[in-house]
Amino acid sequence: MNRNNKKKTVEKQLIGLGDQLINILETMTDAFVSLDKNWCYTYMNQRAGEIFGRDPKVMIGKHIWTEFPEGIGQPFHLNYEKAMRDQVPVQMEEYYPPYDKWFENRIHPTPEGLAIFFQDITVRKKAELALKESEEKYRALVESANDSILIVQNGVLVFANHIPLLISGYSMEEVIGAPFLKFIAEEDRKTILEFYQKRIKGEDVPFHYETNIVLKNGERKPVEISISMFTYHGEKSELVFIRDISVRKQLEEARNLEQVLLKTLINYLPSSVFVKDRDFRKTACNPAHLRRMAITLGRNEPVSESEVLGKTDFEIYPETLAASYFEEDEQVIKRGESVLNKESFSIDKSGESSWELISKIPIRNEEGTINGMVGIAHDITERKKNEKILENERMMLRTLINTIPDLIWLKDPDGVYLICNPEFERLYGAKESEILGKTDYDFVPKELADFFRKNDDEAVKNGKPTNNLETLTYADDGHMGFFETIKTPMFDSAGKLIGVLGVARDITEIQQSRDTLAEKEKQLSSIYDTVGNVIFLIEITEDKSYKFSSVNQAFINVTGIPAEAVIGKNINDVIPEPSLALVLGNYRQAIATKSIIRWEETTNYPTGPLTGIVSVAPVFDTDGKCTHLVGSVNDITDRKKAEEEIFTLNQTLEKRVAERTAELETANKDLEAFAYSISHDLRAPLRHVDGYSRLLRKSVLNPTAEEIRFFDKISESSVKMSKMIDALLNFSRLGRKPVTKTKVDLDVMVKEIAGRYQSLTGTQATEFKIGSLPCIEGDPSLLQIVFENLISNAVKFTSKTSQAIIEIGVSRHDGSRKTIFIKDNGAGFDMAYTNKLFNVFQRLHTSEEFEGTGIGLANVKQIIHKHGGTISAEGQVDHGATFYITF
Amino acid sequence: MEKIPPILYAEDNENDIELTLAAFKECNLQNRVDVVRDGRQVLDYLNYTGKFKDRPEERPVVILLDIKMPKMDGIQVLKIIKSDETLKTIPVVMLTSSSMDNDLVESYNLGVNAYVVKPVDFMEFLEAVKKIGSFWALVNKTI
Repeated sequence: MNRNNKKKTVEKQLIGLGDQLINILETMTDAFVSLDKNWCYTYMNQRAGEIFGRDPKVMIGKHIWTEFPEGIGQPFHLNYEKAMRDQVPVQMEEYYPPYDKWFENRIHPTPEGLAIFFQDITVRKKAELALKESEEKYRALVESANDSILIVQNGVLVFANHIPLLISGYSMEEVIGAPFLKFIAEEDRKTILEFYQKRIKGEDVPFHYETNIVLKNGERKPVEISISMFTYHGEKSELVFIRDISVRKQLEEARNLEQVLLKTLINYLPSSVFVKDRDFRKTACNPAHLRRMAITLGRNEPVSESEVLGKTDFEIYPETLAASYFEEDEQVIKRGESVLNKESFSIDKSGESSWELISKIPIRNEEGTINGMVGIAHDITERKKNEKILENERMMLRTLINTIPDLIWLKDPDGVYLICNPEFERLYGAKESEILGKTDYDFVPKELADFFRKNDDEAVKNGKPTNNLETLTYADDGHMGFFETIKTPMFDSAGKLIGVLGVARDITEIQQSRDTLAEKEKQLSSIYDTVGNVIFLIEITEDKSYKFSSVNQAFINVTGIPAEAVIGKNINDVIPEPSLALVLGNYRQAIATKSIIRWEETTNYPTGPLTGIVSVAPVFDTDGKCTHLVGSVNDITDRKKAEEEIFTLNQTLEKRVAERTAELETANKDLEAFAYSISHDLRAPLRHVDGYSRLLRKSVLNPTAEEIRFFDKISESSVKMSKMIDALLNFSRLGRKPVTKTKVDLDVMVKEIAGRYQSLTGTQATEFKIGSLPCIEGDPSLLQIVFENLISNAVKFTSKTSQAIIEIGVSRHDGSRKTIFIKDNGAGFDMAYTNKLFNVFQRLHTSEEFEGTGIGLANVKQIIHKHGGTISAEGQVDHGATFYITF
Repeated sequence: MEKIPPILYAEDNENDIELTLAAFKECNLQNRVDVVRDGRQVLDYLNYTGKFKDRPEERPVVILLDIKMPKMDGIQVLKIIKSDETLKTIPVVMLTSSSMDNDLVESYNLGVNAYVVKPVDFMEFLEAVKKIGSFWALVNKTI
């Protein structure tokens, strides 16, 4: 059949149905097709055309499976076949994959074929499926939830997932239909009920709260309950979630505890702890950090947390300090490099230096991104100081060891050298660095090394310092000495042997001193026993009694008491009364005054009464306690007798001296009276002689020349005698005049005198040659007389010399002795009469030759002698004279 | 005409008296020279006591005192005169043979007005007396 014929058939059919029907079919929302028994379309409404994407007019007469071969085998095909074959209506909802759509088909068999109504139910179907899926999901969720999910209607449980079983131990049968409050702890029921009632009324109550449920076994369990109202099976119900929070509670508690612990720890931690965020702002810190910060900033009061939190170091610290912190922080936060146990030194505002041990660690989140850092700083100033002290002590000890002139070394228990000092280096002639780590066997012959080792072992065995003496020879310069060595085992604080410390001292000289001392002792001992004086030593015993501890041989000889009757005996048993009382008194005084006490004592000893000067000296120990008395007795029995004789002699002598003095005084007075008498009485007659002769001459008229000469002679003689009297008086007066010594410049004195005589000589032109003269100690007025005399003599005795020369100078300068000479070239004298030169009234020239009384040189000699000097003269007739004065 | 006051001369040695008076005579002094023989007499003379109790009232123009005199020596007399309110204004001249320093010093300490050692040479002595007489009797003014 051709297509046009078929089409015409359908149209006829459609026309048969009537236009009204067609209108219904066309306007209804369902799609509609009709098929003939040959599976060809007889009608397709507009809606169906839209679904198939075909023009319904074109589809009339077309074979369904030819047009839609993709539908063959699909459920629709099968159901169409079934409806056609069995002539039963089939209703189906089926997914049609080619269109990815769901269709509801209502297939009705008709006499012509099939009438099929279908509808695109994809939207509904998908919603249904989604709902179903969702329900499935929820169910799975509810069933697989860790929480109990309950539905309560009117206080009775109508639904429960399986969890309550797990939580409470009840079976599902026991749960469903049971009142909800049954499972709530009794004390919480009231609250739950209250909440429930309020909720029913629509009041606002907490959605979540914590409570406790009671398990089947009676145990309680903390839970979190969430309740919400909803409609279940058309009834107002409560959806209840119960979450077991016992684990969470435990965790929370644990976490709380951890946090409290951490907080406490950090707050009480002496170390400074702080946290900074990635922008270098301080986000947390502990009190120690705040305290530390106050010190750094030089503030007295602590820094408060609020002052620093949220701030960077630049807002807290001075620029340079902040910069130094920042540099480190940057390393941690930006590069993730931890700073670990870095020692940092700083000087705070008050100038106090401090050390800190600083660690800075980056804080990373789970992804490993750095969020900030934690800093921990521990003040190690004290430790540093201690280290310094320790270092100083070590240096001090080392210096000490190096400076001590003794040999010092330390060997470990195996004899290996650990320490030695420079003096020790000399012994082995090697540097410390060469000695350490070696043993004695590396330096000395085995025999000697064995000896050392034995001594070391001995010290260790004794567990205390052990001395031994040994002769050692230095390897460096061959010095050989006698050494006293002390070896001390050293133990650490745990009591473990570290080694043996050795100290060796060169006691060669000490040894020599000891020998000398022994020798001296021997000498002293022999002196002690051979000395004439009695010497004894008394020991003061604990009970304050005095005992002879030693006496010398003289003691035994003088007293006649045998040694055994003295030594060790109490003095009470040796010294007889009444001397004993005197002796004891003096002993006590010596001790009390801490001085030597002397007294004279006469005691009756077996040898007879002895008189002696006893000296007792107390000897004190370092505590100031008098331990001994040293006594000596100077036996003066003989001297005493002599003294008595001397006393008698002295008495006589004194009397004689007094008598003699009186005699001398009388003589002196007589001499004075004599001189006075000469001066006064002898002169008077002279005056009278002259006076009367003058008167006589006057009364003689026209005297002859001879008579006149006689009168003149009388006068001349009178005057001369008067002069002699004066000279004699003067001489005697000089003899009695005391010498008052001062410094006398002879140079000045002599030149003055010479100058005077120079001017007196006038035209005669005496030449003075005066050298430099010294200063001497003497009586200026007396010395004036000396030089006056000598110079006037020189002038006088050169008065007849045509070329008079007078020389004065120092002829000899012998240490403190000075000799001054006065030399002239005048008349001189005969050396044969030198001895007469200095005597009173002795003249070597006549008055006619040279004037003079003959007393001048006597005066000079007297004065020179009074000055402790000497005078001498030499001369030759007509060839001058020289006088030498030696002071 | 005013009465010329005398010179009091104390000297025990007759030779000295004679020679001294001879010397005064040589000088042509107007003053009378009253001679006493010892120290006591000097005081009697001055105080109008003893043998001088009837002496007419007259103050000597000068007293010449020898040192060495019997009974009371010249130094002692000087001491008394110079400690006597009425007498101390009379000038006293020691006229003596002694050239002893002691006497010289002591005399000056006691307030002597002059100290003259009699020269042995009579011509010098004459000269000395002349000077003493003319000075004390003529030149010097007394109270």
